[in-house]
Amino acid sequence: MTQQAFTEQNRARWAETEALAAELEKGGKTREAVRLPMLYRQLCADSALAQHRIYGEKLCGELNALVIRCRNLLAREEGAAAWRVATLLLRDFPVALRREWRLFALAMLLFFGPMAGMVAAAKYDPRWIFSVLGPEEMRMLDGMYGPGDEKEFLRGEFGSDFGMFGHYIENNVSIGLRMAGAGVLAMVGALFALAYQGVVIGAMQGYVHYAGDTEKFYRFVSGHAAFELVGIVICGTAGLRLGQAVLKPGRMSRGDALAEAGKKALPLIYGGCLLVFFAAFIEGFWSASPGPTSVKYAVGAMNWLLLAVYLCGCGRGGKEGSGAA
Amino acid sequence: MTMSVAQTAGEMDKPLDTLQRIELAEGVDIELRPAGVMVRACAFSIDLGIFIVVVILMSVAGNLMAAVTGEGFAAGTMSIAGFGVYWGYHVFYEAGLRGATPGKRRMGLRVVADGGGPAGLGAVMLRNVVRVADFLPWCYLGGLLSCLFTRRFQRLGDLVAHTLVVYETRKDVVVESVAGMPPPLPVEPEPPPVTLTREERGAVVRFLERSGMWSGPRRREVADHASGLTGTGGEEGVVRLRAMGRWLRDS
Repeated sequence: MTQQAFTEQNRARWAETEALAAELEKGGKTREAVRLPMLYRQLCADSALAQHRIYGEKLCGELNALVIRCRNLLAREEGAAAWRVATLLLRDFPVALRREWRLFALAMLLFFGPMAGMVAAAKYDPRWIFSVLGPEEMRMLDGMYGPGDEKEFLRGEFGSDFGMFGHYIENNVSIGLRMAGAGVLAMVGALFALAYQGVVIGAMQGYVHYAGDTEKFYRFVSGHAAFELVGIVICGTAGLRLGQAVLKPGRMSRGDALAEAGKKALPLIYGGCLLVFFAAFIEGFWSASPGPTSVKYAVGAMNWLLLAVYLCGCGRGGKEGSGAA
Repeated sequence: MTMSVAQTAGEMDKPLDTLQRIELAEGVDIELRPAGVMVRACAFSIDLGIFIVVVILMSVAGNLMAAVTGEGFAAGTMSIAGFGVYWGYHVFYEAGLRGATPGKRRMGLRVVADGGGPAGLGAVMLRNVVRVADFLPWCYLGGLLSCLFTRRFQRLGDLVAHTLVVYETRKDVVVESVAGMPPPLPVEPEPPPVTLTREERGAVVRFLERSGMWSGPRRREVADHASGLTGTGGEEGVVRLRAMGRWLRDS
């Protein structure tokens, strides 16, 4: 069959396929959509024939482009968003974290180690703290957690709870995402960021121990500390996982190892960010609210417990799934 | 009967271009054309421009809002919106139906999974989270190096997410001539004397498309490699090869 005859014979059908694809790409909903799988199969056969018979570049190119367009329409992921979120939270995220427990332990150490060191410095050598914070930061902390003076630091000057909530989301979740992304550079980005955050947060905490009112401070941070700190550490763990593929690809090529690490790290990124996001809620609407200190502490302790139970226990016994990619 | 334009069998094993052939379950091969650094940089510049405009508009809207709802609420909303635009702009568009940000669409590009299908939300998320690393140490130098050293021009984010940036449609670009180079002689389409393989046809058409960019001696030098096909050499070989290219391309 000559190319011309082949084209004549099938042109109308290609035009129909093309029109349908264009309509669906615009997000249109039409009953004709049920014909797409059949048209696609016929198109594939045509394209394979055209390639086999070595018809012209132009024809082959057009058929190739149309095959790809139809395939994209047929293969796209649809719906079941709620189901996927539930699977992620109830199974994939905790399971993924437990699978990477070594890296998680390393990340915890990197973060909480420097933090504890800075807090200890409050007692033994506060110059460490001064050099990290600098005068500006210390003045701010004096204002917020300084002794006496019941005027609270809290919301009067910065605006409402919602304002702070937005700020925490923007700031903290961004930190988590950057940590995860920068980890791909042979872990260095995540290692540095984890330790850096540990030093800075520890220095603030240490400074309050040294010069401020610790009750004021812990009243505020106890509620959200668990979710925020662990969430950040989990984002760091995701970064370490990506970097591990570069440093230690095992029996895979580095390219394959990276892609594999991406799949493993994705639930950690989602989960870590969701924890930080959740912490922003608490930090925005609960942490600064008035109330007896004992209640604040109790809620804080309960949050740590809840988080531990969730991360250790959730998703056990079930089969490991493909993940909510 | 087919005939080899390339001189040796060994040369045929090396791809002549960057086309990626992928066989689908449907029994057909598709061809993906990965996009290079330059066109992607252009697409990114467009997106950056859009991003800057959006940020400016948002800050104006934020100031207006502050007058109505009060500072705190407006600041919170702006923070969340800023966060959403900063991290969500690429994810939203690339995970969408067209698989491309406005900038990429303008340049005719698309993000696909490396099997040629649409990249899912997870993959798009990954490639954009790792953007941070591609940006380092400065102005996407990491991503540039990664693109230059991978066969399919993947930046680090693409490697992690198993995605490619490809040309969605293939434009016919025949460079007739560039300044300082003599334009090649006009030709009439002419069928090649023998049946060519796909690779060979591709090579002849690429010659047609690009020969306008070269000097006369360079054109003749390249065309002489195909003297087995044209049966002649020198300027006449160039003309015949371009004529065949025209016939092959337009049929």
